[in-house]
Amino acid sequence: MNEQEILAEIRAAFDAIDPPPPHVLQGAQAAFRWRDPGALLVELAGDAAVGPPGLRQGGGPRLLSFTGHDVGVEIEVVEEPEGRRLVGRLLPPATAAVVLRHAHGQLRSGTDMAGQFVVDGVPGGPVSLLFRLPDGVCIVTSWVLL
Amino acid sequence: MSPRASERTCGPPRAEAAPPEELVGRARGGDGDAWAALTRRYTGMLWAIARSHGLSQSDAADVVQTAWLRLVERLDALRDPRRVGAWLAVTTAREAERARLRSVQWPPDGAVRPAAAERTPEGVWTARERLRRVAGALEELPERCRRLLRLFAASPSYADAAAALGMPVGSIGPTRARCLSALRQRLGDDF
Repeated sequence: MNEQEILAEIRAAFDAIDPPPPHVLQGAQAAFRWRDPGALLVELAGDAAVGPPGLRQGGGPRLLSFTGHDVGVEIEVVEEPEGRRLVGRLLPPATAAVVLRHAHGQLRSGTDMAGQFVVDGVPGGPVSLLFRLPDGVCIVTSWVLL
Repeated sequence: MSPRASERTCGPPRAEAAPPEELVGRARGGDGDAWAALTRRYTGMLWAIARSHGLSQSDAADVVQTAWLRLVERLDALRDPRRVGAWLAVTTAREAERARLRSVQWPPDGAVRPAAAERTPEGVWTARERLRRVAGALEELPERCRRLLRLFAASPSYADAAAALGMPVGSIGPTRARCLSALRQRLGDDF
């Protein structure tokens, strides 16, 4: 048996033991609908939750920050009994429509004059925020796993 | 002379055989079929990476989904579309590590669940028996070898596998050869 054949046997074994669930491939295909080449991407610059295991056992909120294109977005993820709440602000402050995009749809909100916003009932899994400014410019945060 | 069946093609170009840079180029232009072909080519590898980081099924699914969403958001900015597989592998490995560190549930629920092996069709006894032997031999290997062989088998190219393993391409050869030989030894001469 040559190397390609034995690798095929290994692949078949793992496909039987631990195959990707069908919804994983479906999710990957569906991800394409979020493509928005005109939006300005702001990238994850800081994630206060990532540290050695056990460090966050006090249950403090997770802080995320995104930067790029002279724009900043700061988010605090608050775990509440009735669901997850995102509290954040857009910098420099601007009034904007806010859309939180997640695996199963989207949630709408908006910023106030100080650029602050709140989104309630946010599900777990990957999320991204889209800000639509009054002049039509769209800013999106890089997808992050909550 | 008539062409052999395997050489005959018809209809639109087959996305499954297209090189990655071509699929990326077509997806940039909005071609959903090219995107779907990319997901079919790489999702198995990304799943293997996430699971080999010890994530639960549900966490692994979130990590793989995040990697694809990251690719969607920077499809146009991707510097070397030929290496999209390696880019996905590195992104998945990094997200898997973050998810593992964040995981409240530690250790995660069973890394490998052999029960699914029973889903193989009844009646194909030989195939089943071979599968059982390969799975058994893999189980006996050291974790490092099992992980390397899994990621190798799941990766569309050598470069993708190197990225999935987080090793330079040049340094993989000897380890890979040693793991394959250990597996062959456990499978026996009659396999």
